[in-house]
Order: sequence, then structure tokens, then C-alpha cells
Amino acid sequence: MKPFKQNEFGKRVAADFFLSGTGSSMYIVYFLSALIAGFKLNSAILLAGPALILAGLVLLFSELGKPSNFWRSVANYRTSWMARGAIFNFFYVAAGFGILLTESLRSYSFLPWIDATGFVIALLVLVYPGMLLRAVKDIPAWNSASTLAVTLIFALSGGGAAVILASAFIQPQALPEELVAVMVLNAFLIISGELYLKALRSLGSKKEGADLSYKEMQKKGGVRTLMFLDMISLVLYIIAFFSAGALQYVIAFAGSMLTLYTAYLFRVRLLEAGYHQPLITKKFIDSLKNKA
Amino acid sequence: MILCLVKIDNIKTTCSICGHNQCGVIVEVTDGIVTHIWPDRSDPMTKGSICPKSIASVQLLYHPDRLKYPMVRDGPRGSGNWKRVTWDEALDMISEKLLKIKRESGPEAIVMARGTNRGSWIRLFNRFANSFGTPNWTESGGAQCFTPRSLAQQLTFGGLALEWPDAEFSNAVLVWGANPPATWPPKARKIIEAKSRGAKLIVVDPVMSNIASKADVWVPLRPGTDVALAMGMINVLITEGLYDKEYVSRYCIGFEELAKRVSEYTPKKVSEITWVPEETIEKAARLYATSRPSSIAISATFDEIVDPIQLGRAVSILAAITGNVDVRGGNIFPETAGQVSIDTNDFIMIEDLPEDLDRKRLGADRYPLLSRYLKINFPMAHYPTVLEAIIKGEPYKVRALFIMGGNPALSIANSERAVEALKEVEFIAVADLFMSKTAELADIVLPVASWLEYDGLADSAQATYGHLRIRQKVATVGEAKSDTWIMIELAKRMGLKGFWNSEEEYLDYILKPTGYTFEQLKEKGGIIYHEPQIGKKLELGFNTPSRKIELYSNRLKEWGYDPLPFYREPFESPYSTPELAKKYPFVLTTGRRVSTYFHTAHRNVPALRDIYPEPVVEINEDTARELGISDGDTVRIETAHGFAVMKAKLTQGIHPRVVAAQHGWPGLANDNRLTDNQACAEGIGSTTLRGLLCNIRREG
Amino acid sequence: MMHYAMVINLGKCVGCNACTAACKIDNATGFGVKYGRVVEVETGKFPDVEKLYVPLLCMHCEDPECLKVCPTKATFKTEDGVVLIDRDKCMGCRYCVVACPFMARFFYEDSKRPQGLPRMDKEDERLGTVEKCDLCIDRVKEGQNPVCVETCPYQARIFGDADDPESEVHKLIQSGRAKTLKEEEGFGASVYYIWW
Repeated sequence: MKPFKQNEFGKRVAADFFLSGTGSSMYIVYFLSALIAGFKLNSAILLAGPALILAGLVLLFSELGKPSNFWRSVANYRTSWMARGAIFNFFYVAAGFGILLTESLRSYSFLPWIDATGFVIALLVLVYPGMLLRAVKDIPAWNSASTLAVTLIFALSGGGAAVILASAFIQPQALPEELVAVMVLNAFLIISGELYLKALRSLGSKKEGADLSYKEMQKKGGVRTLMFLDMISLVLYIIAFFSAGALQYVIAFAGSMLTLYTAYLFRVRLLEAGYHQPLITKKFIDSLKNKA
Repeated sequence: MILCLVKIDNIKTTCSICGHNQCGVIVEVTDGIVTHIWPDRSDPMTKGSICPKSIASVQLLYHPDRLKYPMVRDGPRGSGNWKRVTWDEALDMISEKLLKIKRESGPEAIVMARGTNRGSWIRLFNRFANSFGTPNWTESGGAQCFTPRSLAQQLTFGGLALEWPDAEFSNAVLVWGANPPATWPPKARKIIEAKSRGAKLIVVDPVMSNIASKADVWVPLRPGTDVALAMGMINVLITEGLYDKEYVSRYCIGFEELAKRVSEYTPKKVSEITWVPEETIEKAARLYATSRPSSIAISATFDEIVDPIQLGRAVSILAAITGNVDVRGGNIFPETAGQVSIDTNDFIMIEDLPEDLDRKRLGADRYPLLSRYLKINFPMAHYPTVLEAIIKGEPYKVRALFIMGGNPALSIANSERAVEALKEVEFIAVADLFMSKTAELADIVLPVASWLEYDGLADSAQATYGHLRIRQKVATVGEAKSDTWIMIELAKRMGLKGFWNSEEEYLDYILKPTGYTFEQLKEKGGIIYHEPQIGKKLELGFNTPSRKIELYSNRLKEWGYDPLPFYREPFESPYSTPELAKKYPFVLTTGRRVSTYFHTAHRNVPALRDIYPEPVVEINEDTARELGISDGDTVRIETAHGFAVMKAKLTQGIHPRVVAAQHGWPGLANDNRLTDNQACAEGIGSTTLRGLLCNIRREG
Repeated sequence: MMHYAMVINLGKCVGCNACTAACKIDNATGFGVKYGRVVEVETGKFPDVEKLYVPLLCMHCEDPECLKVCPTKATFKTEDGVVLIDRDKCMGCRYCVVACPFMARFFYEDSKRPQGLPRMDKEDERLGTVEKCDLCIDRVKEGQNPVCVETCPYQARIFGDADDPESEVHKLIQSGRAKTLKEEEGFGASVYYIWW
């Protein structure tokens, strides 16, 4: 019997993961740039992050069969990454608005702790979709660490691209530094993509479900296509870096849209390639008939 | 606690969703609603067999589309406009119309057709037609179902031994052209039980069916070549001396002639014809013959080929020469439990029909084995000839069709021609549970009761081996009445001889010799049973002129047919019509069944439709790959007679050059769009449903 | 301690689907929802083909994946090993449907129903939540067999308490002949299969 694939998580779930990944990584980029580069990005990002998460939650809500029970979704946090995710999302939205509120009160000393809390929660929100998929033991392609890693990298690249997008409008002077950052991110993404496919293929040689996932992911329109698009995006970033003024904004904008698109598409492909291990194997039949 | 307040009744009855198996079931009724149907493991005949159709009859009962009252068409035929009428009105209309046509054009202008009955009114219908006076009763199955093999068995053994394998006691079972798990659960149950205690199983089927998957030897022959296979197997047994010499000398005649005839059917020759390796043919023959007692299970496929008489004869001979007829663990004869047998000339009142009408029966000139009374058969009209008589008026105009439980618009060969006839004929009355494709074209539609809605008896030939069980009414749907009631009421209005005043009277009449009335039998538990009297024929003689098993049939000879079986190529095949085979390179077998549907019925029952939701055609996986067809693709099957559209199922369990299409789906998926009704079997008039030529390709 | 288990004889199963029909009727499920169903498995190449019919249902795992991933705790396990869904708590996220290794969980979608086929199910009451085989727990508590076991015309299914040394299921499991699906993964299915 051939491996069967999951059919419940589709484009809406992919969109939620994308929004949640982008929204949380925007804040991570904001925080990191403040901490490492000492560079303060526009605080509108602090609004955009939680807003995207909220949008994702609305999508998720609309996917539910019985939304009236949504309030129960945090009950099983002990073992369920979806329950944990619900908690993280909730806190992130709360923290995000809290941070925004306190931005104006920066003079008080305890405020950096709020930032740090926000950062930690953002990290949790960033990580939970990958963990949610990883928790599906019977889908080997999702259960692998490499999938988790590449999911995180796509999320970060999405966040970076979203920051570029925002900056092109509100903080264009920050663009050159940001472009460097996303160039690095994209290059890293492209390399990771290639490594991911390799890892998936080798997993596929051991687990039949992963083999079908690999075939699905590396075919036309799959990860390779996304890598190609990300390469174009990288090139656009480079061109933008060496451009100036309105042209820079426009090209940077184009590059970031492309990156965001691939970040979304990756989630879609990943969910579509969710193949379980085959239910009934020849090995099972042979062992039953005692031919093993 | 709450359960005590709910009234649950468990009512023992016999199912008749397919009309044949009559499985004993227990109907659970909760507060007056039928909630579940269970197998009755205490039933002495069926011992707990049941099928999905029986179980899903709960949905059949409460189905929103059930016909609930008689209706008369209110607009052009097929327009879908109906007017509700009372039973009296409807029955009066039918009675008046039929009597009028009888007066004006003779009784033969009225054709009474049934499908496969869903109860034991199979022979009551014959009686009704004969009493009315028309020679033209027919069935959708008819020449393609039971009738040819029944005649072949009557000619050979004087009884229907091939219909019942005593498999519980067999050391080997040969299942030929049958798939009991899908269509005959009581037989399947016996076979699986036999297998559990080590019996061997041989299955002859072009497709690896449910039962073939359990076979020790699977014989995937080219569709339509069964006679060659049978003769080849007999050849092996005679050559290797594996037949029962004593049994043959004591109980059979014509062995020498048989031996001479089969000598030409060498394994090599038969292998070329059937596409089965020689070793497999030999293995199958040896296993069957040397595992005695062995039994054989057959089915309607025997009757759907180019020459069903030969196959019925050849396999009967196979059973006979191996000493497996009328023995424990072999094939045994049906017998009543003492009630009036409905399977007799007497009961169907055939001899009341004057000889000139017998000769006038449609098909009598070309297909006398089907349409003339031969004393050992129940003659019927030839359906394709009926269609032409309606459309062309040759040899005379048929003006009326009275159809009970039949759906010729979908179920018979060249179904499109049937639809033309239905549109053309002057008057149609249809009795059915649903508005079938045939009922849609009727002038009057009568709502019929399902097996849960009438009292009756499980007394048809294939359900009585010393048993008689009752059927109990457990529910009512609208004004639906049983077919028996309809015939009795019509008989009253028409003043027909030999009928009763009520269903109860009829049932009591059948039961009279047993000493019980229906109600008394019901009180007693609803079953009369004695062990079948196996070996009686061996002791007292078979019901044939020679009192022996007639391997060589003098009667066939007298009637102008070959007294011994012989192989004939199908009307269209790679060998008989090589030119046609260039355009249509695959060998097609239609009529494949699944456990959830009976002919054209039940696609509208939700629980059943969920199990097999789509019409399927099975193709060899490698062949499909070459043609660019993937599993689940929509494909177009084409023959010289039409095309059909179905979903492809890829399998290794079929020969690369064979294609197998399912039976009974409506619309473009109907397999009878592919079949022909002009080239019919010699003498018996069967249309070929298995062994045609086709092409297949991906659609869209 | 009771631990309900089922042993299915794949030698006897002929793929008739009487069990599927009985389960659907008893639970009045909608189109596409088959708590218990039968699949065909084929191996080999013509004419050396082997074919099996395998009845599938919820495996009532000892270590259920569905239970771990359910966010609302709608899915729970009783003391005697039966995995159940409290449909009042379920929010219909279908994470459990995705996670189940045995395709045993269902979420009704009316768009899948063929045109013209009426609805004769109880879905309206339970719309929007996930459903699955509950081992006919109401019947079992009364000492009866699950519907599929009771229905099988070939008596291919055996049910009982695996912890009871006198029970047939216990003996079959102990014999080593009985195997579960995906045994190596350690889900701990309570449904076993044997051959003849």
C-alpha cells in the first residue's frame, strides 16, 4: 500500500503559519538589530508583528469546524504544540501591544525587560509551527529536524523581507543596512534549501513516506523553484543596495514581495507533501504469513 | 436505565434484498423503527451469512425517494410529471388496459417482464402470465441468467446440482465464474469454513476477485473460453485416469463418446485458446479430481457467453465423472421441506397455455431451447426479439409491457435499444421500489414493498435444501405493497384462474402439505428443516430418461443440437474476428459485481454508495501505464456497439489484454452500452456479456 | 485491569464490507466517514498475484498520537484502553486527523457527497467536530461485541479483554502470531491481525 498523505491542513493553515512566522520574526529582527547593530528600526514594526499574528489567528479560527470551542484550545498545553501555539500567540499579541504602549515610556528602567519578554515570546511563536509539524511522528518529512530548521529559516527570511517592505515606505534610510542583512539571510536560505533537499532525500531512502515527500518537494513548482525565486530576490536586493532614491525603494519592495511569496509557498508545499508511512507494508504481510 | 423504557424487538426473518440467498437475519426494531439488521447464526441454511445490502436495507426502508403510492403519468412519457392515484384506480386501469389489448390483438401482444425477483414470487409471475394467457413472459436475466445452465443441468442430471456446493464437507472447492463473497454469502461462508479446515480452493475467473484472492490455484482465463477450459480439464482427468471409474460405470451414460470428443482438447490446445498455462490447467483439474469430495460453485457468468448450454453441460460432466454429484461434500440437489414446490410445471400452469401460443412466443422460431416448452424448462420470450417486436412490429406488434422489479433501461444488453422500445411501446406499467430509469418511462407506476415490508416464504429453488423459512413483515412504507399482493389483486380483477383471494391464502396454500398455516409456522419459529436427502438419486435414479447422468444427451440430439459439449469462439474475439480486433484489441468482460449493489439497484443508498462510490473498470497495471492511464483516471471504453465512461482501477490481477467493466451503473457508465443483443447463442438466445472486444483510452 | 483488544483474521476476511455497512448504519455516519472500512492490498505481478483485504478501524493505541496533539483535550483514553472523542470539546482543528498514523479519524465534508445522494446520517447534531470508531463502547459496556465483530459473516473478527488470560484475544496475542500495523513505531495498537 502506498504512503497516504494528509488532506486537512491546506492553504489556510499555510497562510496562518506564514503570517505567524513573518509577524514573529519581524519582531526578532527588530530586537536583534537594536541589540547587535544598535540600530533602532521604526516602531511601526512592533505594530505590524502582532497584527500579522492576529490576522493568522483569524484565518485559523475560520478553519475550525467548531470555532465556539476555540477557547478550549489552550487546555492540552502539556503535550500539544497547537495548544502551546495558541498560548504563545495570545501572549505575543498581548506583549506586542504592551510593548507598543510602553515605547512612549522608554525612560523607565524596567522597560527593557518587557522588550526581552517580547523577544522570547516572539521566538516561541516563530518556532511553534515547525514544532507542531514535527510532533507528527508518522509523517517522516515533518518529523525531521531539518524540516524544522528550514521552516525557521524561511520564517526569518520572511520577517526580514517584511521589514524591508515596511522600511521602503516608512524608514528608507535604514534600507542599505537592512538590505545587507536580508542578502545574507537569502543566501543562507538558498544554501539551506539545497541542504534540506539532500537531507530529505537521504531520509527518503530509509522511510517511504519521506521518499514521496521528497519527490513532491523537489518537483517542478517545489523547493527548487522557490530557491530559484529566492535567487532572483537576492539579485534584486543587491541591485537595490547599489541603487538610490525611489528606484531603491521600488526594487527593494519587489525583492521583498518575492521573498514573502516564497515563504508562503514553502508552507503550502510542505503541507501538501505531508506523506505518512505506508499503512500496510509487504514486510507486515510477510511477517503475518510467517514468510519473514 | 433509559434503555428499559425503549422497546426493542428482535424479529427473525429472511432477507431478500438480492432475491436468491435468503439469508436468515434478525431485524432489530427500536420503538417501532427498524434500527439494525443482524446475521442470524442459528439459521440452518445460511448460518450467519449476510451482506452490506441487507444491512443497509435500514436506509432502503426510510429512503426519501421510495415510491409511496401508485402514480399515473401526467404529461408526455418520461416528462417526470405524475399524478397520484389510489391502488384501486391503478389496478383497474392496468387490468382494463391489458384485457382490452388482449381482446383486440391477442394475449401475445402483452409482454410481462420481470427482473430478478426479490422474493419467491419468481414462479408466481410465470403462473400469472400463463393464467392470463400470454406466452410472452420474460426476464432481464432470462437467457443470460440461470435459464441456460438450468436446462443444461436438467439435461445432464435431471436436477440443479451445480447450484449448491456442499462445501462445508468438501476437500476442494472449484469456484467457476462466480464471486460468492460479493454475491452469494451463504456459499462464501461455507467455502471459507472449508478453507479454514484445510480444503483447497480453485477459482476460474479472468479477474482476481474476492474469492480468487483465496485460491490455491487461480485460473485467469480469457473471457468466453470457459468451455475449452472445462473440456481441457476433462481431457486431463481421462488421460490421467483421475476420474471415478466406478461412479461413471454405475451412474453415467455416454462416457466413451465423451472421451472421444475431449481427446482433441489437449492441454496444449486449450492453453492456446484460454491463455492459461498448461501447468495451471492440469493443476486445477488434478486438484479438483483428487481431493474428493469436491464441490463446484457457479454463477450467472455461465449464461452470459457465446454458448452457455455447452458450458453448463461441460461443467456438469466434470462434476459427474469425478463422482461428485449427489454425494456429501460434492454438489447436491435442492429439495423442498415438504411445501408445494413452486419450481414445477404444475405450479406455473404452463400446460394451460395452448400449443399455438407456445409457438407464437417471441423467440420460439430461432431460440426454441429458450422459448418453446420442452417439459424440463420454463419457456420465456427472447428479450431482444421483444424489443424488435415493439419497435418494428415484427413478427407481431407488442402493445404492452408489464414490468415487475426489472430495469431493462439499464440491465439488458444493448440497453439503448431497450430505452427506444420503452419509449415506443403503447402501454407500460412498472412495479418498483424507486423511480428507476425504466419506471421513469412508465404510464403507471406501482410502489412495491421491500423484503422488510411483507410476509412471505424463502422457498425459491436456490434457497431450499431441505429448509423452508418464513419472511416476516416488520415495517410499512407509504402504500407500498408486495409483488405477490399486486399479482393477486390483478388476478382478481381479470378473473384469472388459479389465484387466491389474499397473500395469506397464497402462503397457506404453499404451506398446506406441511400441516402448518403461515401463522402457525410463525408461532413455531418460522423454520421447517430436515437434512437434505443426499444420495437419493444414486439410489433411486436420476430424473432423466435413462435414469442416469447423461454425459451424452440424446435429447439435445433429438432437438438438433450437439449431444456433447464443444468449444465455440466468442462472436467477437482476436481469433474469430481478427479485423475487428485491430480496432478493438482488448478482450472485454462486463457484468462485474460488487457486494453493495444488485444489478442496477442501490447506488442511491448512502451507506452502500460510500463503499463503492464510482463505476470502475479494471485494467492491467502495465497495460495502463503503456496507455498513459493512472489509477483513478476517467477512461472511455469503446466496442463496436457503443462506448461507456468509467473510472480506471489498475491491478495486476488481470491479464494484460483483458479489461473488466462493472455492471449496472446508470448514464454513460452503463456497461450495457457496450454490449450487443443481435448475435445470440444458438438455440437459447443468450446475449454475450463476457467475451467481447474493446478499446480503452484516457478521457480528458 | 481490562484492556479491550480485537484480532482480525485476514485469511478469513474476503472484503465483503458487511462490517463497513453495519458500522455506518449503527453510527449513522455521513458520506466519506467510515469509522471501520476495508482496504485491498495487492502484491506481485500477473499471474503471480497476492491479494489481501484488510479491515481498518481506530487502533485504540496504548500511546495515541491523536491524544498528544489534541489542543482541547477532547480526545481521551478510558481505563480499559478505549480512545474516545468528547465531541462537545472538539473545536474541529483536525490536527488529530493529520497526526493519526492509521487514517482512522474523520471530519465530515458535505462537498464530498455525490450529487443526488440523500443524507441519511446524524451529522447535523455533530457538525464541525472530528469523529471515529469508539469501539461501540455502549454495547461493550453491556457485555456485547462491537457491531463489526457481531456482523462479520465469516466470523473473522474476535474481540475481548487482552488482560484476561482466558480470552481468545489474549491467547492469540500471546501466541506471537498476531501482529499490529506499524508495530515498530510503538504506537501500541490494540487491533491485531492474524493469518488463518
